[in-house]
Amino acid sequence: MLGAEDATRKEHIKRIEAQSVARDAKLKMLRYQLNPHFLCNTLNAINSLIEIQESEKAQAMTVQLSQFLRHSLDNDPDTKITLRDEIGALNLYLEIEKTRFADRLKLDFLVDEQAQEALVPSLLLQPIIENSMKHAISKNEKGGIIVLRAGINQGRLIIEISDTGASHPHSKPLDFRNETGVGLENIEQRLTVLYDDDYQINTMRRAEGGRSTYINMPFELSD
Amino acid sequence: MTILRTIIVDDEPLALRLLAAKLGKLPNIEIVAQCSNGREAIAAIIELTPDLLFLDIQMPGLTGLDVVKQLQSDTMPLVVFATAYEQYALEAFDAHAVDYVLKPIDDERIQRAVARAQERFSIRLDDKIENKNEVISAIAQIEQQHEKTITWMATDSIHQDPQHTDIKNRKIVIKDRDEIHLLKQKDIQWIDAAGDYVCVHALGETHVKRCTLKEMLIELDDTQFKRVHRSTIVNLEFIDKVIPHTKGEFFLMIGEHDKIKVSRNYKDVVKTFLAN
Repeated sequence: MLGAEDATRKEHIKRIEAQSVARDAKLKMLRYQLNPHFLCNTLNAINSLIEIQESEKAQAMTVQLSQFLRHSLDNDPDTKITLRDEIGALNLYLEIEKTRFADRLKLDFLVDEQAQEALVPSLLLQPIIENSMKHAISKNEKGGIIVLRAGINQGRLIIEISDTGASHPHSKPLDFRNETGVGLENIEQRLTVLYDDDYQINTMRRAEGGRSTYINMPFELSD
Repeated sequence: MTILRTIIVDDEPLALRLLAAKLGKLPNIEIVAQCSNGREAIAAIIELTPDLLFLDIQMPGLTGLDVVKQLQSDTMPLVVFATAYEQYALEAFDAHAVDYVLKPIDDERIQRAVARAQERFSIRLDDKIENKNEVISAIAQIEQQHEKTITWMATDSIHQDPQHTDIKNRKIVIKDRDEIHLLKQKDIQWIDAAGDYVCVHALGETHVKRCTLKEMLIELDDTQFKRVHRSTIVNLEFIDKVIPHTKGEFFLMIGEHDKIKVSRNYKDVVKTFLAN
């Protein structure tokens, strides 16, 4: 009698623990998506546009921010979307950053026609681009360029993203939490869930400054 | 009501414009310069000697905290930090009465910060050292929180027997986050004191060390290091240029970037140096 009750209780505790772990993981992802530093600075920029009576720009930025947040919240990280849509979402984010950083942010994106339709996990590239914003563009007095190339090679989808780095490559990072790690770890975990070990992701320091990330994954099309 | 001559610093153009617009509406603020990075800010502060500084924290190159570390305590303006989401810093700022405004910035907070600055300004007037004291204490706390090693105190030295080590060759122990640096005296360009700390400027970096200027002077070779202001010591080796200023004051150019103010009381040091 007592044994059965004990087992039920243990089972119950286990279930609660599992739920808690799942909730933690989801919260972490959500928190990562709703980067508070980005949100506060964006709202500050919108405030500025209102102050200087650039109401059209203020409205455009508000709409971009809403669309970006909606995309981040609506898309489950396990769902796959086309690379075209993924880059569309990236552009929502990057348009906001262009308004914030003005001519310090330059983009050079080139995606092969075939690769546009390739399926990727939603929000796959967002953490990589955010890292470039955080560690290169915003850490360089002159700004820099984010380059994205995507294409199909031997039946595989190849994506490469690079940036031009900080102006003082040896300066200590002010943010002590290693968010580069969090972002990439997150991507790796998701890729493993979806493709097992049939993928490759590498990130390396470029000799001329900056970082470069290389992804090689299965080329899939929607039915 | 005194007019506070103010410099504002932010690397995002829109954030800078918002700050300028908000502060521009206040009758006791005169904005004398707007800078978009730490390097520009330091140059403008030395050139224009403002009373008040609104300083963004996250900036390319030098951060807002680096700017404060690099400025000579004897010429340090009042500082209000502007921050989007640097929570780790806020606790330290609160503990040491360092003022800040949160982004998105609002009128009420800006007005309160300016009122507080006005009050401090009227109490301190020429005693600018106090301005750096409070901020350096906060910065030291921020850096301390991320320290992995045991705390080293001012009196710590690395088996340097004064009997056997020539004072010129004695090294200065600096503890930075998880590293301990041993600085050669000949690499130290200048040092300024701020409260319980000194800022040691060497090889293009600023190290914060917990000790007094007095304790520092005992460790340094006094033929090389001279006091040029109440809280500033320079290494004579590094003086590249001497620029006369008003009221018997001087500026010393130390290397390419640092410009150190010499107060009237210490002008003889410069005169002796020039005579030799």
